[in-house]
Amino acid sequence: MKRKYLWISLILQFFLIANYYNSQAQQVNDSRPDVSLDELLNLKATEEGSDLQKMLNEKVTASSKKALSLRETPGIVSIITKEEIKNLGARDLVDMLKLVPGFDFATDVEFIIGVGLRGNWANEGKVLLMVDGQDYNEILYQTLIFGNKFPVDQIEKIEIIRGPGSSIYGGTAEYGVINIITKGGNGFQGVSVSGSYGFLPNSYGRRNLGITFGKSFTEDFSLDISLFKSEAIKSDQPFQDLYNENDPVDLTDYSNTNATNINVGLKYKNTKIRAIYDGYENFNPNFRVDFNNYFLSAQHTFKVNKKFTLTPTFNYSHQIPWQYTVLQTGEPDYKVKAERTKANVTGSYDFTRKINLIAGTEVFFDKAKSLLDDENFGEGITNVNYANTSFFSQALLKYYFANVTLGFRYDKHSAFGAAFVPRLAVTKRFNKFHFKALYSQSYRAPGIENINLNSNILPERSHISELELGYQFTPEMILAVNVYKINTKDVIIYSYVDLDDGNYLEEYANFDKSGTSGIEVVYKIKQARWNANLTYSFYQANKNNTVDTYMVEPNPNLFVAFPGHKFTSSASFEILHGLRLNPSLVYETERYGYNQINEEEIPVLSRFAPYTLVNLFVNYDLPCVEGLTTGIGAYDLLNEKEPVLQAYNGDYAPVSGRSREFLLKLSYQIPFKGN
Amino acid sequence: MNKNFFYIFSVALALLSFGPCQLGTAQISNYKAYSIFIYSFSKYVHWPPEANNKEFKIAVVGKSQVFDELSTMAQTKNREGQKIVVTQVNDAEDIDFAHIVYITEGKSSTLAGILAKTSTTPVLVITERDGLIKKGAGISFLITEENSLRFELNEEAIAKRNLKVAKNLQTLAYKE
Repeated sequence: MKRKYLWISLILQFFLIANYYNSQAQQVNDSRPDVSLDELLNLKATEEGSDLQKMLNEKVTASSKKALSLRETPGIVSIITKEEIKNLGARDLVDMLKLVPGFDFATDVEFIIGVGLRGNWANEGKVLLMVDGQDYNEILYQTLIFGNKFPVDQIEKIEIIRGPGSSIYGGTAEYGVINIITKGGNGFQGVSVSGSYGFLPNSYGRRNLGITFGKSFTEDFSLDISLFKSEAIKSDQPFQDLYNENDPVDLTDYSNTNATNINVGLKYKNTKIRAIYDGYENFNPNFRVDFNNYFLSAQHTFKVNKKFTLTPTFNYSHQIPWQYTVLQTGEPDYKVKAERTKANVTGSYDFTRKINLIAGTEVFFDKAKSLLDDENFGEGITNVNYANTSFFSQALLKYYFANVTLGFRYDKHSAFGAAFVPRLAVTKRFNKFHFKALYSQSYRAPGIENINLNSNILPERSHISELELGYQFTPEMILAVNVYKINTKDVIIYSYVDLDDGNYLEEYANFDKSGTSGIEVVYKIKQARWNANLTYSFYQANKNNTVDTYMVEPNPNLFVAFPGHKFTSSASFEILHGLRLNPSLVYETERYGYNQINEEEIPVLSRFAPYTLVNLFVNYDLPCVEGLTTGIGAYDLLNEKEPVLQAYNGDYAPVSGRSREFLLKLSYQIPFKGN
Repeated sequence: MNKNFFYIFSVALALLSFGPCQLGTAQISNYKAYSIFIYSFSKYVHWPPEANNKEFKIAVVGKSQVFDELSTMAQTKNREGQKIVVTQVNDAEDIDFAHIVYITEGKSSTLAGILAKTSTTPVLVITERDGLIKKGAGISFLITEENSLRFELNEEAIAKRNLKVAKNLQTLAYKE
């Protein structure tokens, strides 16, 4: 308890000191030159003198099809910028998402790392991740894979909705959305090369190399190409399987991940075409699991007149996710090809400056084919086909007292039927104060294999209410506090039972209820030479939860693998010109996970003590070569080696934590002349 | 233990909210821009000769940092030789004659009363709230999607008060 008081005291002191220095900096410049009439048109309605204000003024598109500023957009949103990624020397997307309130990570099967959001295991169809407009969730199970997978140094900006997105994006965004915009996708002009090497005590931790090229050849035509190659290990510690069936193994040799990403974009006038290859190899002591996904999209925006735009979009993805190979024999064990062809037409009409209506339709066709097992989809069935048709609409009404967003999405799927998800959002900024009152229904659409393993599976449905209050003390400082309540019904849960013949039977079933409620706090301060972000998040499991695989009997307020409280801080100090010192910290309270069995060989929960992850990264913009930045850092300075727990009772022991890792980073950026 | 932590955090938050409220004085809305616009209106709107006194009076209805910005501006600028005098009032009853009456967002409901009280005088009524030209104001500010500060004109209402708007200011006005 004393330790907690100490934390509170430290936070308090930080705020007060920050306030003191900030107030000292508020010396208003009263010089007021004459302004010509033409110059009046350049005057902004809000201050833009600070980096934070610029960020807050920037339009966010992820949470509304009609862009609104961060403080008014109808969603609880976090933004991660390329500067923050660079300053903190992020090794991986996981490093950045760990600093976002409500986000955490746990393991699925086979050492695959997945995401948890607001205390809920959210890896299958509950968090949608998009890269330059492409849906990255694979379509067999709707999962998202993390763990040295994303080229974090090639990211321009990440928009994160920490709340539901189904009324915009459909059945893969029940709890949240991560929208990644790459440098190439954002119109980067130049060449950027970045590399990093991580050192563990007896092994490399990771080695990453990426290059981005972007150029506008004419006013109408531009091209961008990004390449990324990465190798890493998940742990360098010993691992013992849950049932003690095998001898302990050193994960240095059995937890490799290899990622390859190629991202190419073309833009000609109002037409955009993008192709992405995303490959990932994941090893554990028994299997190699491969993901090979290809994405293609084309979009054209017709500006019919000043008020009306029509945007048709075509997407195609070809995926072979979760491809299993038995390490001992080299025999393939599971290989299913999946394809999705999707067409979307969205129209946006501005009735007046204050009334906007968006409406559209979307249709997609899913095909899956088993490449190994003739019985995968039933006796003698190697192919399955599904179709989904959607209609969606959103009205945005800007009143002087509030912005009101009303929207819905209706999906009709050929296998599991219909889902209708409405939403209502009321938001407004009143100078320094803002509020957001949000209510949304959302759903998780069963994936192809979910339907295959249970033809009666229903979509999972959620009712989510959120309220955010924010106060911007100065152009450099903001505090936002939000509360939320998530009620989920028909929860889709994976389970399997061992059969006497040595095989196992997998199943997906709808459980009655789950969900959480909680509070999140974000404090940001950005000064010219230093900045800091502090966040706190708390959740507790709903009392009426019926999903026993998530339950924690010793502490019913928790769900397996996820801590009730999380505190994060990250800061950046320019101590000399071009030299920045960037500490970051994540503190999590106790967690529970399955890491042992009882006498009857049934997995039982263990308590994992609170832990503190402390990182420090120093980067330096070399004055002798413009655009060349070098950095060195240490991650998990306290060497806590915190294991990653499985998020449910799935017969996997926690993946052993990593040792303290030292990282060397080098990046070189050459902007093209004239840009 | 969780409850204790939660209570402590709530108290800390409350303290934090109180602290910066006292210390932070900078503005988020760009009221300097509003004051620059108002000063430009004073130059490009022509008042009848009977209103050309030694002083050019601007009344701000309601509390707003616009008052501070206009007051600062008045210390260094004049309007064609007229000294600019800025006053702050709470409602229509408190307004003596003013060339410009600026109604802050929080006092928008006083518009009707102010229009009635000043109906026979050459007063330019400006509102911070968007859209009030439809209710008789001469000028209403608005914020565009690009976060630019602009204004709408009600030329009929302005002309009724014997004021003339210069052509180049008219062309700058926002039109749907």
